[in-house]
Amino acid sequence: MTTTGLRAESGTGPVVRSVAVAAAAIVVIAVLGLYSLTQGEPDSTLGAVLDNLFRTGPIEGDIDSLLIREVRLPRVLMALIAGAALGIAGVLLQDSMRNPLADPTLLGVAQGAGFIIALSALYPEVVPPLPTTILCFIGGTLAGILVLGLSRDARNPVKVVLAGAMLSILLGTASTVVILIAPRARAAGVLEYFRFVIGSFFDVRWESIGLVLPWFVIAIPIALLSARVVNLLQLGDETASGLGLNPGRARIGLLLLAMVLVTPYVAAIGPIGFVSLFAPHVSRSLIASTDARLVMAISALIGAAILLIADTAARLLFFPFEIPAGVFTWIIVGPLALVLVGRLGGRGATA
Amino acid sequence: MSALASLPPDPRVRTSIRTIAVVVAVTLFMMAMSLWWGTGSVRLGPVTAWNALFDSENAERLEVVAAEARVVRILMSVLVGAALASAGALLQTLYRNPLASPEITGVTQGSVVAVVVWLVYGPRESADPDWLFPVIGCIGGIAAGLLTYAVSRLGGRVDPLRLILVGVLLGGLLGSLLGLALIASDGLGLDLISWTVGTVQSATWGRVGLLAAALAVCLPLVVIAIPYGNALALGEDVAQGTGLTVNRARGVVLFAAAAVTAAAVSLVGGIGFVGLVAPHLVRRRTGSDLRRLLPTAAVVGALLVLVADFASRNIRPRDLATPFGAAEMVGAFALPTGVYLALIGAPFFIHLLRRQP
Amino acid sequence: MRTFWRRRMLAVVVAAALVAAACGDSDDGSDTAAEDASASESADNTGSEPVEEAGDSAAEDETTEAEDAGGAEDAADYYPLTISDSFGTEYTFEEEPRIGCAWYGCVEAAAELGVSFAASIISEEETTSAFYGRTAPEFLVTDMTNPEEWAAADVDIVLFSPASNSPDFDPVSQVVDTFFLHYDNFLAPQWDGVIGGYEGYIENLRLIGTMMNREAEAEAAIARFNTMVENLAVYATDETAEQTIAIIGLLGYASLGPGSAMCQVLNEAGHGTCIGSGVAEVLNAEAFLAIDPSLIIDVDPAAREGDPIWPNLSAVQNDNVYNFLTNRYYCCSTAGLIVALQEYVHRVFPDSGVPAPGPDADFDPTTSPLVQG
Repeated sequence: MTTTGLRAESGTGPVVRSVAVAAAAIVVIAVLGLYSLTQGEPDSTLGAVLDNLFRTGPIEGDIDSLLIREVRLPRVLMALIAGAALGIAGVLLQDSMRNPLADPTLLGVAQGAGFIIALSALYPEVVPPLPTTILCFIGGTLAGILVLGLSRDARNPVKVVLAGAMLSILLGTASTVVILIAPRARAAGVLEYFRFVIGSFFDVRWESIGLVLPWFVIAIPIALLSARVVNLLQLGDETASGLGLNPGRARIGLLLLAMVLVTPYVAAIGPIGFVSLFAPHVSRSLIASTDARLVMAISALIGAAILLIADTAARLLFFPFEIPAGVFTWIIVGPLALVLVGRLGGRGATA
Repeated sequence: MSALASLPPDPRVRTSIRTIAVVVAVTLFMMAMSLWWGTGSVRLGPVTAWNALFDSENAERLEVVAAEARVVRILMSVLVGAALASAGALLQTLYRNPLASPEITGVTQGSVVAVVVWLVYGPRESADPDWLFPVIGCIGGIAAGLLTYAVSRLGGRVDPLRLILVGVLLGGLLGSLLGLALIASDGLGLDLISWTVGTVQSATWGRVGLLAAALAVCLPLVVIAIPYGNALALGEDVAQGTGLTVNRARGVVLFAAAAVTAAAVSLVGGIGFVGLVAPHLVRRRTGSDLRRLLPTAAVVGALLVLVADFASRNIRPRDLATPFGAAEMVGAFALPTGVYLALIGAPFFIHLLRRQP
Repeated sequence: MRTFWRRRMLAVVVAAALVAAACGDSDDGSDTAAEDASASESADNTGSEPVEEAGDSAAEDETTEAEDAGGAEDAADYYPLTISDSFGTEYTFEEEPRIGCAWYGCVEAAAELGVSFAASIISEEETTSAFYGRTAPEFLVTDMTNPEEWAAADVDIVLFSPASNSPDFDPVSQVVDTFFLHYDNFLAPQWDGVIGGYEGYIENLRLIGTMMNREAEAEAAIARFNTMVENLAVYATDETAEQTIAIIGLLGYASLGPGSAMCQVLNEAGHGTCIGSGVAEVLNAEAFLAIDPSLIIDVDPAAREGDPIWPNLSAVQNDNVYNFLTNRYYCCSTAGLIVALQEYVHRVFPDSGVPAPGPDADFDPTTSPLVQG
């Protein structure tokens, strides 16, 4: 994988393939996005959708305008932003740690965020009164740093993966304990925790976009700029430090960046698993390159497409009932990710 | 097999025997403690307990009830702990990694998911036989173990690294599925919550018998797996040199561990950390030879679950919070066994991570 | 395990949802009040025979109610008695059994009938706050799956509500009889023969009444409930009969379904129909707008802030949204339902002069204006 990727990079192959894959992904996203915007109760016409997309100014009394612009559009946008962020974060984590299983759910990030949510919901007096996005960032980052810091050797994928798995179990148990020991007077908090676990795509409004957008706007350019660092890290720590990079510090920086990308979405729509694991892997094999710049771009598009599919399915498949979007990412991504890791895991990790 | 014969005689045999004697003694003491002390007001000394169990005609009803309830849970704890610790010892040898444990094979999660999905979504009968849900859990766990092995074979060689990665990923996937299945049941309701953490509270004589029978069936498998595990521990090249098919050896060890894990977990839910902690506590004294490591770890595992269940039965979080003036912050009710095992396991796990070279 | 914990957690969640809005005053207040009440209650109870007290309350009830004010039959004639639980398992009682109650439905029904019992719910606060000023439990069981606790409580039979085939209770059933009541919450029962909705509540009263030789009290409680439904119908108009009701407060737009006891009673009393089919499904926002319920009972107003759909709902435009404070819509007994419906009348029909029900612990279902007429 690595060698073929590096060889291919010298030619124009990967770039051409990237453009092709990107074009295909964009078409899928556009078609599915428009479809998603038309579907609902009542359905809207494509004309109405396009009309509403390109019109500013206040909403008049008509229902199409309300549903498309206030209900469906925020959800589609959230799916796209979150998917792109998860896709990029996956590349950052996997490449910087050279760990094929570097995924927020497997590193304990989701459980860390979940634990702090459970704590703040049931015992608000012990948690500083910060917005959920910040709390998730703190909880998730602490879990991630704990895994990396404790395993000390971030390049050893087995250690990191095992540490992540056990820490996830530990944090999951801790959340359960918080729920179990809370007296009834605090029971309202249990709901808040469930709201987090179940993911609240159905609650996405423009305010939710407003909450995550600043993080996105700051983190994406930094991520793209850091692609060079990621590429250096892929060459191995010795080569990287030979080229003037402090691998340890770079890795921590990239981890923090990945957390900045991931945790706001965990706060906004719940722990959506395995997208950031799967999207980079599939991007690498589609464009036959490991160049982080290309992989990041493609992975972002693929992540966005997966989340859009998941959200559309969650919203429409059992209409009028909502299903957690996580179910669909699980169904779409889970088995594929398993097969990918079964086939690439050994090679990718030992490379 | 021939690798076994060529092993040099180990001076640690005697140490191991001494260790096992000490641990058995401590375990027996803990069993007595567990029998003596319970949530009810009844205190059962050995004589009272003996009378309550074997001469129940002449004993007080409350004593009989308490003795039986405690004995059942003690037996269940011992069996579960021994099973999980044995599986942990096998897996740590298989993966040649001290952080390996039954939780990272996907077996635990597979079993818990199977039980939960069955209980929540399966056909609902008021009189399901006692053995039905454990059998389903066992099938789910073993299926997850086999899936881990099968997926790891996709890349050709079944190397430990790939087994770990696939096992962890499968466990993560099943864990997410579990969360979603719980919450999607009637929309929400993080039900079966103590089951996901693991608890021996559903123990009855029937289920203890069931687990004992299942473990008896698994025992030959474990005995077969021990030499394979020992051969694998010597490293792939040496193992191959002894004429072993490495893939098959790994399959046998994994299957033995998965079967034992599934048997235990399907009766008590997702109890963790026993398989991680128990082998470590004894390895320095017994060495890595599974013939000594496994039985010693099994006894230690039994002790660990026994202690955790003792805590689970007797500790009320509120009583702990009261001295700190936080009584109103904490509910009055007991926590499941798995919580206390995680409490034991957490610092240990951190210590292990840090100690690793 | 089995569905039992699921039901429980669900009930807790719904309770949480419903209580969310009310946390501030009603919870704090009621808990302390409940503890005081129960303390004095249990002090009163220690010396007195449960039968006497039941006789008293029965006498009170019968004055308004009824013909057969005979009180309890003579125990010697009444037992032995054989009754079957909701699963159809038969139990024979040689004498009046000492009962243990696991969870709300049994606790509330037993309290309503003046039966003394040992109990386990979810926390001490709840075990004492769900009694409407009536009998408090003699013994608190902190781990209902532990047989020795029930044995220490010295009960002959443990009554579980709702019906459950949880393997967790098998250890208990090896020590004492385990009797499964009908549903005590808003969910659809999962087994043949197990009854849900308010009929489940009523059947639970009957079962406990029969078992404990309190049939007259059970009939009185049922009559109270029926009177309440009749009195509720007084406020119904042609307009209310047509209305669609959404009782929301869970995740997003999830509403109590038409099969829940609350919705059944509203429907039978001519107050309209609840939307949806089940309960906990989260309803799509646009679907909710399309259904456009005419009356909304909301317990989590904070969740509606900034919701683009909300101002477009006709119930909101017509000022037909009520933020309720009680949490008794979802479970557990006829008495609890009286609390919920008294608040309904109090809020939706302010001209009726029906007061708010107040904290659960102080609430007396026998004196509710809805029962008095």
